[in-house]
Amino acid sequence: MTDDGQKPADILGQARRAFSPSAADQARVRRAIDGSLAGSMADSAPPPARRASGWGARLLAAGAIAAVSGGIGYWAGHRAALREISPVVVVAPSVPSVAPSRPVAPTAPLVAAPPVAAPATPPHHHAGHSARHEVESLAPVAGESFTVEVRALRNAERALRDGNPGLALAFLSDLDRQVPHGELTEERDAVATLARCARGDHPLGVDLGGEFIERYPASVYRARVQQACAATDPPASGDSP
Amino acid sequence: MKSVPLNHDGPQKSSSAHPQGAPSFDDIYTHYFPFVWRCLRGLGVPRGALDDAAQDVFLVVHRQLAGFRGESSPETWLYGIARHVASNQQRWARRKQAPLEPLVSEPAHPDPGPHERVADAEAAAFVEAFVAGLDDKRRDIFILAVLEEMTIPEVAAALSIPVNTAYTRLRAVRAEFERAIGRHRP
Repeated sequence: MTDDGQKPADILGQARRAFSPSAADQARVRRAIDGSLAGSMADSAPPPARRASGWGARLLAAGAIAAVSGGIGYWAGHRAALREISPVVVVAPSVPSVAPSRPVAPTAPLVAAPPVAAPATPPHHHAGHSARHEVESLAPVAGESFTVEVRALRNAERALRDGNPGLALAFLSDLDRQVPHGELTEERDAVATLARCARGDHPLGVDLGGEFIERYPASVYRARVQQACAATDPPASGDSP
Repeated sequence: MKSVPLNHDGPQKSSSAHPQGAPSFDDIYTHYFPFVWRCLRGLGVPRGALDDAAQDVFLVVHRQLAGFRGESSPETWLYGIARHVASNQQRWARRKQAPLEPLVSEPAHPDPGPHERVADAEAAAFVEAFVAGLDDKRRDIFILAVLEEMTIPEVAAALSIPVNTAYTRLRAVRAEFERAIGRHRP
């Protein structure tokens, strides 16, 4: 290197070339960043400040009542929904190290990014590096219900993105059991509608997409629902399974 | 490195909201990724950890972009973040077993021939070894002023030091670099 009398400028130029990233490096890191951002938006959603302990206590009470009284019948239905997708924790078999590819999604995310409290140090484990679906098995304690909702909706949307609407519906069922009266009702409804349409549900005389739009005429998910349900919502097209 | 004018008027491609007139995340990423990558290399981040480190830098950028007012140059801001991330990465790496370096690094640019590639890699190894032997103050000056060719006023602003101090350190580190080259010659 330096045995032929090279000047410092030459060495620096060579080092600069060697230090520079390739276009593939730039694209790869970008995909990882997009994946991390998509995951962390849902992960780091803080509970709204107005959610006080009284609200959490009401949720706990509602959860307890649902579990003890009406929960039995509900649980049976829930198990039926889960039957096709056991085990509950699913690791996608061939998910790329980063997900999704840029742009994250051409459509509006189902879980809007709340103001995110930045951690003091950058994370070492990026959500985008893993496509693991998590299911909360314990009832949320007071103040955590919003986080549980966000996480479940994120999991459901990932399942949808992975082409598994049944799993998405199971996540929603689980969420209904854990947080029966949550805040994100429109989002829940949107994911449920998208999942049912993706699964090909066409209940007799029911226009899934149309009903969603009727309930939420100004919804930001309107276009997405319309698109997803266009193929499965012909009038009186058949029976629901 | 010269500052690249950022697109302030174009359509907002990034998902991150930012105030009117501020650069978008896409702008920053597109124009300054190579700068950040080289700085991380210069700051001693091993090749195998560069992806994570660069990702960490730009995640911080994404979070803090709304607060970036353009009072300093983007390089200044990015270098501060990169230095912090590199420091964290090295602290973290010391606690863990060092990751295995790839035996053959993927060439950054496929265009040069084999001789050029070898020469580039040797030069890079030499510079890395030289930078590793510097203290923090001289290392910062070397990376920004020598390797990245930023102007001394920019470097001084980036490092929050007087311009004259930056010049003094630059002269010292250049002399040291030349001595190192001389020692390396047979």
